[in-house]
Order: sequence, then C-alpha cells, then structure tokens
Amino acid sequence: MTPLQIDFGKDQQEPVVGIDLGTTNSLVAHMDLTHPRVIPGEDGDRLVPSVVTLTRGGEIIVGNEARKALISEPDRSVYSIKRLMGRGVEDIQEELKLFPFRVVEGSEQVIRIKLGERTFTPPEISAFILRQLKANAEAVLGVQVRKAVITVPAYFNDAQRQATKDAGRIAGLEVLRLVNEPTAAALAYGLDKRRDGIVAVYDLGGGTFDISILKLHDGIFEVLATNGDTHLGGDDIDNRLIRIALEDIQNEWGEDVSHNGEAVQLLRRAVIEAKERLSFVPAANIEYEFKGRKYQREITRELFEILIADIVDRTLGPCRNCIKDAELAVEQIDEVVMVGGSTRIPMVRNAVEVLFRAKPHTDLNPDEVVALGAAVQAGILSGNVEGQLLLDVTPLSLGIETMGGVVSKLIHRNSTIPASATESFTTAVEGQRNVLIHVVQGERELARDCRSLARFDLKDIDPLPAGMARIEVRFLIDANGILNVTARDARTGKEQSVDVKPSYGLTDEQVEAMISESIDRAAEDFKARQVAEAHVEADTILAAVEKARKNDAYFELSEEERREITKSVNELLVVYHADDHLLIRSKIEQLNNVTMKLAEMMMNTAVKSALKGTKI
Amino acid sequence: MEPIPSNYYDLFGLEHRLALDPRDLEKRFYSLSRKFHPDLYTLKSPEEQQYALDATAILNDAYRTLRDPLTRAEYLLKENGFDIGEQGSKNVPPELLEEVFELNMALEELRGGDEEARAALAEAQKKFAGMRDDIDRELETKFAEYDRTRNRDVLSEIRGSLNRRRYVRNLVNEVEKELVETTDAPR
Amino acid sequence: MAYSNKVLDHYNHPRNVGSMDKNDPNVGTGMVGAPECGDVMKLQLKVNPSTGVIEDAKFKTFGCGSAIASSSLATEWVRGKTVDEALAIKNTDIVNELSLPPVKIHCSVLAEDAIKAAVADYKRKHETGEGFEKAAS
Repeated sequence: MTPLQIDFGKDQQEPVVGIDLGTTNSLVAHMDLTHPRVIPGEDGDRLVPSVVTLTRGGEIIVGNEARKALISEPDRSVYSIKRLMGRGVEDIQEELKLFPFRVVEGSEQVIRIKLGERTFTPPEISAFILRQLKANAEAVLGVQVRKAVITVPAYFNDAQRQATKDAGRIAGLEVLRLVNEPTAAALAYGLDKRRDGIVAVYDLGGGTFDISILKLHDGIFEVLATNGDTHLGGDDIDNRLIRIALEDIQNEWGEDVSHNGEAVQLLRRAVIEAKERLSFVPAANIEYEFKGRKYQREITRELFEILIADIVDRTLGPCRNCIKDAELAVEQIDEVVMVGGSTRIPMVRNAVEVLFRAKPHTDLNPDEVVALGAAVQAGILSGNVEGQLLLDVTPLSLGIETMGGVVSKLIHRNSTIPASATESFTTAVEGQRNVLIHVVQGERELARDCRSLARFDLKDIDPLPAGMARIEVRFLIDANGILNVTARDARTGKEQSVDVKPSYGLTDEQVEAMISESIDRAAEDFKARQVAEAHVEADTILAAVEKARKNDAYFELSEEERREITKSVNELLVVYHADDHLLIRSKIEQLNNVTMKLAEMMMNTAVKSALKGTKI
Repeated sequence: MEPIPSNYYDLFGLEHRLALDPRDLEKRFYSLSRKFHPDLYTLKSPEEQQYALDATAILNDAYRTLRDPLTRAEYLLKENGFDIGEQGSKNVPPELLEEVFELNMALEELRGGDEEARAALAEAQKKFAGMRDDIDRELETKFAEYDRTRNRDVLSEIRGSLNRRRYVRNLVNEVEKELVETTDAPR
Repeated sequence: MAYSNKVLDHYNHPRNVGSMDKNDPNVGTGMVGAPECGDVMKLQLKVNPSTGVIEDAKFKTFGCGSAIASSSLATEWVRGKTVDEALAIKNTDIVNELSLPPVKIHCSVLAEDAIKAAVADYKRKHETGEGFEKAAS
C-alpha cells in the first residue's frame, strides 16, 4: 500500500522550466530527454487561464477555477493583467475603457489593482499565476522548481521586462532568462527541422502582436529584426464583438448592462465561443443568457471580417517595417510560422499569406509553441540542449534626453543583445556634484514621445570647475533586454555611484518586500500541498482497511491484532485534521505496519482463488 | 578567462582591411558567439557570467561596426588617426558645404508646398539617392585601393567621401520624411 | 536635464535668422559644417569699416536644436563687438551659457568656427582693399 515512488536520482541537476506567461493563458513546459513537453495542471488542462481570484475566504485561486469565479465574483477577479505590466496610469487609459481593471485611486508610479478588499500590483498578480505553474511543474516533476525561463513579447520595453522579472522573483523563481515569444516559437519550430533559412514569426496573442525575422544557420537562431505592438491582440477582437452585442442588448432589452461586471463577463465568454467557432464554420451564433433573459445573434464570417479588418491590417505595418529593417526582400523569406490563438482566424492567415507570399506554417499548436520554445531555451541554459544558440535583438532604440528634449540615440533598435554604449558626461557649473541623466526608449525624436525608462543620478562627483569632470557612463542591455547602467570617473577610474529612479515599476526595495512576503506564503503553500498529499494517502489506506475488515481474512486475525488495527485507524482519524503532514504520515505508516499481516493473508487467499479459477 | 581584444579587427582575427567578405565575417561572428554567449555561462560563477556578458557586448558591437562598410571605414579611419569627432569643419571642403547649404535651402523652399512642390521633392529625392549611390561606388573603389596600397592619402580621400555621404544621406532622409508626411496628411 | 529659459528660448525662437549679400564688401560670410551629424551653418557679419564694429549678424543653420541655439547665441553676442572682440568668443562660453551636454559640444565648436570663418572672410575682402585690419591685428 506504499505509493509508487519515482526516483529522479539525487545527482540529477535542478530542473529549469520554460514558462509562457500569456495575456489569456499561461503554460509551463520542460525539456524531456529530447523534446520539450507541456506540463498539464491538476485538472489535466495544459492551458492555465491567466485569471486570478481572491476568494471570500481570502484564498488566491488561479486558472480554470478563477475563470469560473470571473463570472460569479467579477470584483474579486482579474484577467489580462499582462496588459498592465510595467505601465503607468496614464499609459492605460485606453485599456481602462475596455477592461474592467479596478485601479486603486492614487496609484501613480505603480498601478495597484483591487481584488475584493485587498490590492495588488500587476507583478504580484502575475506572480500568482507563476506560482500556480511552478506548483503544476513540481507536482509532475516531483522536485522543487526554482529556476525558469519566462517569455515576453518581443516588443516589450525595459519596464515591461523588468516587471516580468519582478513577478518571477516574487513567485520564488530565479528567472534565468527572459526570451522573446516569437524567438521562442522559432526555437521550438527549428529544433527538429535543423534547416537553414530565413523564417518570419507572426505572433498574434491575446493582447500583444509581434513579428520577428530570424536567420537560422547550423543551430544559430539570429534575430535580424523585430517589430510589433504591445497592445494589439485577440482581446481587441473580443471587444469589437462585445460592443455590437451590448448595443443590440440595449435595443432589445432596453437596458444597458455594460456596467454590470457579471453580465459583461458572461457576454465575453459568449462572443469568444462564437469567435472561435467562426474559424471553422461560415457563421456562428452569439448565445447569451443573463438573469433569465436571452440574446442571440448570428455573426457571419463576412460580418466578422468587416469588424476585424482594421485590427488585422494594423499587424501588417509592423510586418513591412520588420522586413525593411532586416534589409530583406519579401522573396528572401523562406517560411512564416504562426503563433498565438488568433492566428487560427482564416482572415489573419490570408493576410499573412498575401503579404509574405508564402503559405504560413500551422503544424505546431499555436497556443503551445511559445512555452515549448521556452523549455528548449531552458535546456540550452542548463546545458541539456547542445548546439543551439539564440542571438536576439533589442526591439527599441535606447537614448538619452538632451537639449530641448531631443533624444540622442545610444543603442539602436534591432541591435543584437547584449549591446553596450559608453557616453561621457560633465558638469555645467563649478562645484556641481550631481548629473541627472534621463534615459528613454523609442524611435521618436523628442523625449516626450518616447518611453521614459529611468532617471539616473550620478552622485558625489568631485567638485571641479565647470566642464572639467568627466564621468563615463556605460549603458548595457543584457541578454534579457534589460538596461544596466554603470558609471566611473574617467579621471580617477573610480566607480561612480548611480541612483536609479525607474519611471514606472517597482523599486528594488518594493520587490524585496514582496519577495519576503511571498516566501512566507510559498512556505505555506508548500506545506498545504504536503498536507493535501498526506490526506490523499490517508484516504486511500483508510478505505482499503475498511474494505479489508469485511474480508474473511480479517476474522482469522487474533483479537489483539484486530484491536491494534482499530486503534491505529482511530489515531489516524484523530491527527487527520491536524495540518501536520509528518504526523499524518507517521500514523499512516503505523496503520500500514499493523495491517501488513492482514494484507499478506488477503493476498494469499486471492492468489489461491485465482489459481483455482484458472486451473493450471 | 582570457582578456577580450578591444580592437574589433583583432577580436575577429582579421587583417585591418576596408573590404571584408561578409560571409566570412558572419562565420567568425557565429563561432565567437558560441564561445562567449551568456546563455552558455548561466550555471557558471558570477564572475564568469559577467565576463561572458561583457565579452558578448563587445563582440556584438564589433560585429555591428564591421558588418556595415561605412561604420567599418569610420572605425578604420579612427584607428589611423582620422577621428571624426576632433576634426570639426576643418577638413570639409568649402565647395561641399556650399553645395549642401544650397540643397538644404532648395529643400526648405519645397517644404509645405503644393502638389507641384511634391513633384519637385520626388525629383530631389531621386537626385540625392543618385548622389549617394555614386559616392558608394567611389568608396568601394577607394577601399580596394587602400587595401592594396595602404596609402594614407587614400584614407584622407575616403574621409572626404564619407563626410559628403553623411550630408547626402541626411538630405535623402529629410526628403523622404517630407514625402511621407505630405502623403499621410489628409488631402 | 534642466535648461535655462533663455536657452530654450534660443532653441524655440532663434534670433537673427536670415542672410545678407555675401558680395557686399562689408559683409563677412562663414560657412562651416559638422560632418558627424550632417549640420551646416552659415553665419554672416556686417562690419562698419571705419570703426571695425559688427553692426549686424545673421545666420542660417541646418541641423539639430543645439546647433541652431549655438549659432543664434553667437549672433547675439557678436553684435556691437569689434571683429577682434568677436574672435575672443570661445566655444566653452557657449557650452556654459547653453549647458550643452557632451554629445552636443561640437555644436558650440561649430559656432565658434563660424565666427572665425566670417571674420576671416571679412578681413580677406579688406586686405586687398584698405588693408587697415593688418595694422589693427
């Protein structure tokens, strides 16, 4: 009755998992001996909906359960949190019109979202999803998972990447690498093919769009250029359908339900179902019922295509720019790989086929390919996958604000990362001790049109006449696409202290505080899981003993032996709710021992009767 | 951990030449990437990780510089003491400045003009692009000449051609921007 | 980075933009360029030949904001100065006045060069003529 023990071997190295932290769904995958595999959740589902709910009991639930709660508890649930990662309040005004995010008033530098009576930052909410994926992986792999590769949209800026990395840290994961989603897809796609050539990856996800063009050569995956739009995706298509349905409903019912969270969530689900069916049939119904009232509308593919034409069109501009930046002619692109659920839409496929003049590849599951690629990258980093190497680029130019708010570019977009640039700075007035450097990301000429990354304060400069100080500042974009800034005094060669004030996002101290909070929770989570597992085992053995007590063999035992069994059963029942898995396990062990003889006797009887039955 | 050569040519193990075979350069870039890339150092010590990061940043900068013939030429000129940052306007021939100034004036007049000006802009774009292509051909010849003769006078000529090309490229960009803006504007 | 209002004003409303007849014997023209960013700057001075005082200055610059502000400031400063006083203007004065960042210091060099070139042009015209500058310098 001992559960089957799988020995993973003690000398085996710690696993590194690959995680696709998506707008709509998230997945975790790991590298098998030769291939990446998606790890399903407890419910067997490979996709974990990126939905988080704080239950009335104060418990955090994630995934399918939370998705159900989205309808019953819209005020305690949140979805599409990825849209808010690394962004400021003024950035998200558009999203707020379309998404029911309950942003806490007065959250400026970092957005805070209300779930019931508590508030969380987007990285904390993402961390809940990551923690669920971590637990799913631990359940299947049977070991603790502490290291991960997480994917991000290629067009994510520094703040969005930093926020994703923070989420990993809060979830108790060491993020070994952030990998761009289209690049990850290319990695999964190219793993077996071992083919050389130019590949374009078109990735239309739930909330983001990326296009990347790569050169594959002998195991090297060199990204030539990337482009995209960090708020364009399947969500936008859903919102179009929701808007027309809401109008209809207002006309038919004479009631505006657009401010009722539950009503809108139900409608969202109804339009998504219709949208998904439309990829396979020429017409589908939006079927909606709310508080006993019904609404139904047929959407033909023709109407659907009119509704979404401009969304599909908006993906083509970045594609053209990307081809141009890669310094290629369209004919030189050998293959196009499709990623993201929205690429199932026939109109999207057609548009891509027309633009690239090549039939897009759809043989890999567009929902899973990014996670699989992340697992391959995890394999590369842990040395389990050899010969493959990713050379990625930074999607946006990095510059500093100069005179008149004009940007002076230091690192150009599509530069292979890691990339660096050194610039020297001086003082304008005698005795000046500080120099403030404003770093921005983007392609526009004026700093105010670019994305402000951070203000770096070069402090404690030796007081000198104006223009005499010479501080060399090194801007380094690492392999995660995240900026690191170091400075030194060129005269003395001594390290210059730099104070970083991120324009959006969490300071290191804030992340540390969240981590320590989450470590307590992680310990709690881990304990809860072990108690749950002990309960399963206890249930199994108690049921087995109960059944055995009706067996003839039980009555062949001595009274003493039967008393021992009863006593052990009772003791196990007493500690069952003690929340102490070690205690439960010790009682299971005890019950196991005192029923050993009974089990053997039953086994013998069973074997004998089996032999009789088969008459050898 | 051997120190990384700070000279880009030395890092790639190449002779300091102006004409390079792009395929050979790419091959060397890939093989050095396989040696230094941070992905291959994830499980190593923090010092080794930092080394890989720094080395790869230099490698990538070097590849970016040498891959493009123009930035490559700038790099080689700088190596040979023709540093663009220091020269100011002293090495720019006055005729070139006059020419660029006139072209800019003409462009400014075309700006904000009507349909007719648009046609003139398109004409100007063609002309500037033609000038740029002429300079590129000229540069190619001079690159080969320098590699053959190692004559510093040739470098000086290349310096002049590169300066001229910068001006012309700026003009091409300006006209392009102008044409795009007038196209995007509602009619 | 903080800029004084004066600087931003030079940037947003450059003074003395325009040109003068370069064939006028009393006008000195300086044409300079910074190939690193493709800037060209034309600076002209109108000198009273009897006093050597700069009565008017005009410029036209194609380039970045720092180059425009530098030349605008230079034309303001040279007015009312003698040609020799104008030669004493150093690029560092412009850097300090405009708080130019290091990446834009070459713009101030350009303005200084433009003044020098314009004065030289004016002197050249007068060397062959009255030749009083030779005595003056």
